[in-house]
Order: sequence, then structure tokens, then C-alpha cells
Amino acid sequence: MKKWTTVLLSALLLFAASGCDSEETTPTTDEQPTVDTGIHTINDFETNGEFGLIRLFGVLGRVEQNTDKAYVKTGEASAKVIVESNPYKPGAPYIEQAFNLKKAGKDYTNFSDVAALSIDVYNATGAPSRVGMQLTYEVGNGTKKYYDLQAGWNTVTMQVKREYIPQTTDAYDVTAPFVNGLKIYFERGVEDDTYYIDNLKLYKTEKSYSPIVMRLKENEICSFDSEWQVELLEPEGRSDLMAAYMRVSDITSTGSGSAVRVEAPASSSDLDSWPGIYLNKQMTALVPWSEYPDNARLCFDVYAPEESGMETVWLSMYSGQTRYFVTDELKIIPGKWVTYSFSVQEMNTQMNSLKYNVTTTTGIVLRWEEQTKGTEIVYFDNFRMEFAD
Amino acid sequence: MKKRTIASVLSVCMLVTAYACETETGAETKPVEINVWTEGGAEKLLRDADYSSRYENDTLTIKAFKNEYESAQIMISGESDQEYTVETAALKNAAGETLSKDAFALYHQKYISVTHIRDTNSPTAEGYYPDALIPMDKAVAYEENVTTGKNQGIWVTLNVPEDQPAGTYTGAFTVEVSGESYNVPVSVTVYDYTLSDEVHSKSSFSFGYEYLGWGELDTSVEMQEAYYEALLSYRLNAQQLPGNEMVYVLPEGESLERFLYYADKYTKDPRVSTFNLPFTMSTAIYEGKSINSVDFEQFAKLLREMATYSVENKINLFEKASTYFIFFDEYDLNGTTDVANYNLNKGTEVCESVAAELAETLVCDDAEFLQEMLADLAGIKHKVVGSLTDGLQVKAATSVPLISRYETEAERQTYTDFAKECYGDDAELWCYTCLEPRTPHPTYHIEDILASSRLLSWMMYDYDIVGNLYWETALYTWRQAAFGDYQLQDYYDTAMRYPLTNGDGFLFYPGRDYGVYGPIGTVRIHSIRDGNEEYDLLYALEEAYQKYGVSEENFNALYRYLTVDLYAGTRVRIRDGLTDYMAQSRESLAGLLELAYNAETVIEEIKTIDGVTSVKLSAAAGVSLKANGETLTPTANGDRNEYTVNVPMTQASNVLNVQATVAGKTYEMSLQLGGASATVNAITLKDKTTIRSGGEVSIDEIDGAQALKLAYEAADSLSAEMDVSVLNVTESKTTLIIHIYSYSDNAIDIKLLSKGANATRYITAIETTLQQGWNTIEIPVTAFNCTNNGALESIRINVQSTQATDIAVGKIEVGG
Repeated sequence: MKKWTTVLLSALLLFAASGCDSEETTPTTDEQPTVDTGIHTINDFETNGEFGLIRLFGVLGRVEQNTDKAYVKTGEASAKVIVESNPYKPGAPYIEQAFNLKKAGKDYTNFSDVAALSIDVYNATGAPSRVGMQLTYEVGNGTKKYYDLQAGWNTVTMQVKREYIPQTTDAYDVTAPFVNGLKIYFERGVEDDTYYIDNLKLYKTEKSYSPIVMRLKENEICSFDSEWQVELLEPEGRSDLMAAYMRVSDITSTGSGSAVRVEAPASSSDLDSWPGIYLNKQMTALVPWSEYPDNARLCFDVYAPEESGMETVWLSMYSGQTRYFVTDELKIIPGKWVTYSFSVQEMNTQMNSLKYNVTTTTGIVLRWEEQTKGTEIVYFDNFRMEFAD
Repeated sequence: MKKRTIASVLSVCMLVTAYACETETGAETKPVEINVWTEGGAEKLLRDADYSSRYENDTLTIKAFKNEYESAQIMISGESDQEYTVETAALKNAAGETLSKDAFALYHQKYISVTHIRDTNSPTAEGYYPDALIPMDKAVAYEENVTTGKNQGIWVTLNVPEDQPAGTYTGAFTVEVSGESYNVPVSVTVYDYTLSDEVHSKSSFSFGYEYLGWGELDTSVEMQEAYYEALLSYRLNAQQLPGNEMVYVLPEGESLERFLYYADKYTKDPRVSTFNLPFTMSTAIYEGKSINSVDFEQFAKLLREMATYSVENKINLFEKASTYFIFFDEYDLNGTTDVANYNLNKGTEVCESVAAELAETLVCDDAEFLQEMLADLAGIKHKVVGSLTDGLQVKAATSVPLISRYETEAERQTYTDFAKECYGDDAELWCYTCLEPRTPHPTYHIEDILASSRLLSWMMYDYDIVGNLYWETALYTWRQAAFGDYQLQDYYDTAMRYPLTNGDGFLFYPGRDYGVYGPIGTVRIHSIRDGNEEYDLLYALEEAYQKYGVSEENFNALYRYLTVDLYAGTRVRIRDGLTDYMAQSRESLAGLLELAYNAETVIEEIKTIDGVTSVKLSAAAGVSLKANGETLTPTANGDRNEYTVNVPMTQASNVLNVQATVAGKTYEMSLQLGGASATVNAITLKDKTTIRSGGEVSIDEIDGAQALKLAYEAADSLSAEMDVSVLNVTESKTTLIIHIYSYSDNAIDIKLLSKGANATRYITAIETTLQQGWNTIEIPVTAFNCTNNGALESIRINVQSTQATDIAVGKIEVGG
């Protein structure tokens, strides 16, 4: 049986504003934050070499250098971003900017003195839009945050809470909150959309911080009893379908502690996608997966209110990018907590792979079907392992 | 052993005094010594190696077929940081006809650092290897037309126009290095045969769309098409058509439209021989377990849409269609046999049932077209990557094992039998490579010799392998763990992007860095194209031979003469002079094609018995033949004439030269027949033979000749050892033939092991079964790995039995 699992390395990214609500829509601002120790330009897209340190994900479309001054915030160039409509590619496409600029002799991965990031975004879509920002670490990602974009230039500023970034140790034995990069999410429209980005900057501070320590109880996977367990959750899917969630203590499966309440918005297009929430690598890394025998069972509780309640969810287990197990649809009984459980053996035999299985779990995803009926509510609680007597 | 004749004695060597300026101390700068020389396109020349012995090679020589690509190299040796330019020029033949300068493409060879050699059987070492080929105009635009080390290579690729008259064209290119000019003579021979546009081999070479988003910053359909077309230019088919990923969402709407558009376009394209059908994922219950599965309902829907489109547009979209359900890749290694069994069987069932359904419901005014289309639909082949195992229980599948699984006759037969069982006369053999196998098997690894990637196609043709699968050509990432894809800081460095292998997963580089829309190629993919073109040339040769009634057995015997110096089994004969042997084989191939297509002349039969190679030829009436300088006397056979030539194999190197003259034109062919064989009788090795497990060595008389009898006593393991160092078997030889007599009425399994002079351990050379009487056992010399182990020193003959056993060893022949 397992002892308390104490993990000293993890921390958690908590963004300002509404406490446990991980999806915030903060108005953009042109106001630069005041900092104590300086502003560093990570990428101003002036040279071909700077484009070598961004990557496109989610079959985004195309990024190229722009020298039309009408779309350059400062300097001689910016980056033109063409987001392809591609409605059959689910998920939000994004650009990832690396912070390790080894070739340029610069390394911005150590965030122990970083207070904020900002980027200039020109919205050329002809309509209001949104851009998402998310820090990415070795052991997962921070919370994704969306910002409204008006037509024309917008300076998007994201505050950084260093105490919630995982502490890791690098090759030089330095322990710090290391950040690999920044993901910049774009929304996919019904036609190709164009944006321009310029001046990705990083703001440093002299103020100190204290990292958060994460712990799990014996056999706990995720009880949502701790604040960080909701803060680390990642929403998945198109930006218009991003779930809002919060930690609540009035409706829990055990009658104590907390659960997570999820609000899944309705879609206006019904394109048959699967939004969800994701217990990421940072969260699942705390679980001793390789120690569970075949007959151990992964259990979790799910509840939906009688009004506007979600009716079905699906659970998927991931090793890296590979989904090694997915359930059939799991029915939710309105007004009642239901427990679902799956044995380690059952989860391993679906793919029956030596490489991708329970022992190599890096993520758990709960998904629901895109729907047009209206906002749906669901509660999750008490992810745990149970053992046969 | 043959060596190539040094082309010319004129070395181009000039002292360059770049500047007369003085340093602060008053000392003058040292003049830079530059050598400009040439080499063929079948070899990688390292940036910092010493090639001074080749500086006398001054003529850029290319021999190619019409419509073929063929490359060679101009090398600048001296110091780094020397700016250079190259000017091509038109060439002319004796008749004054021109080969346009536009037929030549120039590339700056970009070097990549290899710091750990993983293919330890490769003769190469750590260092800077040429890989990316930057178009010269881009190298100039980006100021990279500068020498970066001791050697700087310029890759010159000729694409012979289809209508170029055959002959030899000469002229000169100009190389300028740091302001000094060098004249490089050029000689191009255009063979009198046109390579087809149609590609007869099949391939499935992937490029990940996500990787395009990393290296090119462009995942658009246009960029996907650019990569697809780039692969086609190398006679390769991509894993998936542009527009959709192979594992995609749903066959409807825009996605379906794009698929049908590209399926139509590329079905009509002769450069495309196959494409994989897209599919979506689901799960299924199989033997009580939930497993990953294709969504066969959607797959069936796709098939129906394709059928409807085919009938409406009178184009059979199934003609080139196949599947690659990638999620049970390498099933034998990943424990996904059940998943493979289910999906392969279900795939076959769905294709057949949809075909049957459409036969009843689909209306088409061309019954023959409909029948053919539905037959192709029902017979869609489903690839499964991995070695055959007993667990694979399928009605039909196309097995795709590593190329090394075709090493022995027995293994090849196993895969052939499986394929025939699945698809009958329509069976296909496929192979794949990745980080495995290692040299001397063919690889696409950076540290492997360039000939290796080219010879894979020759092996494929030899063993009737039509398909070649490669998992990724654009790995624009640094994959260092099962789940970790890390950003490359520079897409032009990092040779080891996939653990343990240099170059695995990438044959392209992003063009974005140089303002090229689409990928930038490599010396390796150029070599792959060379091999693919040769596959089609060999196809054409066999087609001609079939037309004139030459049996498959006799064609294969002839084929052996073309390849015996190049590889054995699936092992490349890595040794000095291999590129010379390759050039020789190409030359022979050219001669055979010219004779067949221009003079209707073929080699009907060729065999060597008792030291004489007997060759039977046939030609159309009106063709006069000479062989080795002698006019041949024809014997009429129908509307053709037959000829016989006997070549005594007495020289160290014996050749068959044939000249065919028809309508005032003469075509020549030269075929290496090999060297004289050395033969010893094993009785001469009596004192060098012991039965390690106990028994007696004596001389016995069998069928009137003496042989060395080995009488093994009963023991747990029967083993005899023979010192064969006197045979002088080195990598320059081709075959060791041992004649063994079995006294038993029962079959006896034996294993022959070998040890080289430099080795401490024995390795298995061959396992075979003796029948009663004389058995001739042929062992390719590559099985002894003389390159690493040294000359063959001793062999062990182990009998796979514990009972007392008698065998005898008669003649031992060493061919080469």
C-alpha cells in the first residue's frame, strides 16, 4: 500500500482574477506592466533566424515574415499568421515560441524573475476575435488564458505567477521554475483568417516568490480537494468550446472536500468535435502508475444536475500523444453521483501495446460531444485507484 | 580485383595569392593552395578527409539514360572560407548536337556533423558528412557559396532530356575560387535508351504535416502538395495524398472533396504507383477485449464515394489504392498482433462486401470498366509492417518486414509463400528500413556509404520486392524519448534526431531557411532516386527479355552477373572499389538495354561449368554479332538467329564483350564474368581438420574421387573445425562453394560457422540440410564479414544431431 506521496518539484500556475476559474477573458490592454529589472525582446520577427524558433501546431496554416509597414508594430518586419479554416481538424491550432534561444546565445527559460509576457497582435480578420496564451513546461503546460482582440493592433499582456510553475533542475544543477516556451492559440474560423504578431517581450522583476508543494493522498489520482488540482486542469478543444471550471465544496461525491464543476458551452456550428478537460502530465506524474497490479481499478465519480446536466462523457488515457484506452460512452444519471471504474488490465488490453499502457500514463482526458442545445454542467470528483480484497 | 583507371593526369592546382596586404607585424598572408577535382555521384566525400590521391581526377564524367537523373561531384580542396562560383556550359557531341546547360542543376553540399557512429560495420568515421543539397542560386543568395572545411563539394545533377540524341558530349564548366578561375572538363555519355516516366516500384514514404508546421511554418495544402510532388520527383510515393492526413476525421464535405480531387489527379499520373487510403479511428471488441480499430463504417462510406466518383468520371480510383493501418505498426515488436489480425481481416471483409454490394447496386454503362474497378476494390491490399509471426492469422495482408528479412533463400520463400497465399498472382512483396537494419544491410543512415541506399533498389528487383516503406522523411524535431519531441535549434544540424541513428527519419530539410517553397533534398534521397530509376531500367530489361522468350530462371542467372560484385543476400559488399563495380554494372545494364531495344539482341542463357562460361544469344535477322572481337556464326531459329560463345575463365578478370550491328549502327555491351575460380580438394586440409567433439578424420573414395571423411562420434554437440586460411578468402571474393557428401539416408541439418583472422569468435555463416549423396553449398563471402573479421581463417561444420554421423567434404571452390 502506498504512503503519502510528496512531490517537491511541482508548482502551479494561478492566474489572476476569478480565483479558481481557469479560463479568463481579460480585456487586452496597451498598458505595459511596470517592472523592476527590465524588458527583454524574445522575438520581434525581424530576421529569418527568429522564425526558426517558432513552430506551428494543430495544422495551423502558415506563418511568414511580413514587411508591409501597415502591419508592423515596430521595426521593419512582423510575422504574418494565416490560420486555415480546416473545419475537420479539431482542436485549437497554435504557434509555440521557444525560450531557449541557444543559437542566439540567449536562454530565457529560467522564470524565477519573470513577472509578465506581452505580445502585439494585429487582428486582420475584420471581426472581434480571441488569442490564447499558455506557458509550456517540461512536465506539462500552464493554464490556457484567452484575450479578446479588437480589429487592428492589440497588446496582449499575461501576468506570470512563478510560484505555480513546476520547479525542475537543469543540467547545471540549477533548480528553478523553467519554462520551455509560450503557446499562442488562434481560433479557427469558417474561412482562412489573417493576423500579424510582433514584439514578444518578457518582463523581469526583483520580487521573490515561494513555490507551491503538491501532495497526493494514498491511492489518490486527483481528488480536487487542493486548489492546484483545479488550477492545473487544461481545457481542450476549440476556443469557443472551452469549458469553464471551478472548485466547489457544496456538491462532492464523498460529502467532504471539493469537486470540480465544469460548464461546457454550446456550439453554434455542431462540427462533431470533442472538447474536454485534461489532467495533464504535471498532475499525472505524481501518481505511481507502474506500481498498480492488473486488478487495480481506476475509479472516478461523475454527477450532473437535473437541469442543464451533461448526459454522457468519455474517458481517455494517454501515453504522450498516444491514446491507449478510451471508454464507451459513460452515462451520467441526473441528480446522482455515479462511479465508473476500469481495471488496469482492461485499460492495457485495448491497445495491447508494450510501449503505451497504464505504466506510461501521462494524461487523462474527459471529453464530451460538441452540441448545440445549450450550456451543460457536470461535476467530477475523486479520481483514485481501488484494489480488490 | 579491378580498379578504375585514373581519368587524366592533368591536375588542376594553382597557388592563389588573394591579397598582398600585410598584417600589423609586417608578415604577408600565406597563399591558399586550391585543388579542383571531380568524383562520381555514388560516394559521400567528407568535409575534412584527405582525398589528395584523387586530385588528378579532373574530368566530370556522367553516363546516363535519356530521361534519367544522374549526378557527379566537383570538389574544391584547400582551406575554408574561400568564396566560389560555378558556371555550367552547353556540351557538344562529335556531330555538333548540343546538350543544353539547362540540363544541369548545381547544388552546394552542406555538411552535417556526425559525432557518434552507430553503423559500426560502415567504413566511415565521425566527421562532417555531406547531406543537404542547397540549390546553388540559393547558396549564392544566402552567401553560403563558401568552402567550409578542407573539402567543399558541388553536386552536379544532370537530367537528360527525353529527346536527347545518344552519344558522348564534351565541354567544360568554370569554377572560380577566391577570384581564380579553374577549367573543369566535362564528359557526358547519353545511352541510347529512354527511361520510362512510369514508375514500377511502389513506395510509402511519409512526411508528417505537423513537422511541416515546425520546419516550414506552413501546413497548408499547397505545402503538402509541394512535399508530395518533391517525393514524386525522386520516384517515390508519399504515404498519403495531399489534403488530408492518413488518419483523418470523416469522409465528407471538404475533406472528402479534397481526397477525391487528389485521388483523381494522381491516379492519372504515371509517376504514382500507389497511395494509401485515409481512415478514421474507433474501437472494436475482439475476442472479448476492446481494441483500437479502423472505423470501418466510415471506411466503407469512403469506398462507396470512391466507387461513385469512379463511375461518374470514368476513372478507376482503386487501381492504385491500398491501405496502411499504421496504428499496429511493427506489430511483432509492440505486442499488437490481435489488433493487426482484427483490422486486416475486417479490412479485407469490408472491401469484398462493399464490392459485392456495389456490383448489385452501382449502375455503369461500361460493364468491363465496372468489373475491373470492383475487382480492384475487392482486392485492395492491406499492409502490415513487421516480420511474419505464427500469431498473424489473416486471410490477406501485404507483409512489410525489414529488408534484412530477405537475406536467405529460405526467408525469401517464406514471404513469397505468404504473399501468394494472400493474393495469388496479384501478390506483392514489400520491405522497410528505419534505424534497423544496420550496415552492411542497406540503410538511409548518414554515416552509411551512399551506394547502400542505391543498392536497396537492386536487391528489391532481385527478390521481386515491389514496395519500399519508410516511416518519415521530414523529421523536423529532436526525438529523444518515447514521448519527447524537442525543438531543433537549427534544422540543418543535429544528425541524430531519432535515438541511436544518424539520419533516420529525415531525407529532406526545410526549404524555408533558403527561400525555397517545399523541401530541400539530400545526397541520400538523390541516391534513392538513382536506385529507383535503376529499378525501372531493370524492369524494362526484363520486359524485353520476356518478349523474346527468355525464361525467368535464365534472366535471373544473367542478373546475378550484374550484381555479384555489389551485394549478396541483403548485405552490401562494402569494400574499396565498390563504386567502380557499381559503375561497371550500370555500364553492363546500359549495354544490355541498348542491345535489347535497338538491336533486338538478348542473352538467352549464361552459365559457368568447369571453368568455362557458356553464353547463348539471340538476335533478330539482319543483326550481326561479334563477341570478344570474333564474328559469331548464327543458327536460324524461326525469325531469329541464335549464337553461342564460350569464354574460358582463366584470367583474374574475364569479360564478355558483345557488339551488335544493325542498319549501320553498332551497339556494345560489356559484362564482367568474374575471375578464375580457385579449387582445392578438402583432402589437402586433412592435417588442418579436427573433430572437436570426438571422431576420426580420414580419406575416403566416393564416386571415384577422394574426399575428406568426417566420422563424428555420438556427443551432445557434434563439431568439426577446419583451418581454411590457405584458401585466401577475403572480401574481394564472391562465393565459397563447399561440396559435402552425406552417407545417411536421412536428412541431416548442419550449421557452418566461420572465424576471420581478426576475430575471436565464430559467427554463423549458413544453416542448411544435407540430403543423401553430394550437396553443393554456396555461401556468399559477405556471410563471413571479412571487412571486420579479416580473411577467413577457419570454419566449423556442426551437425545438428547427437547421434554418430558420417559426412565427407570434397571440393572447396572460391569464386571471384
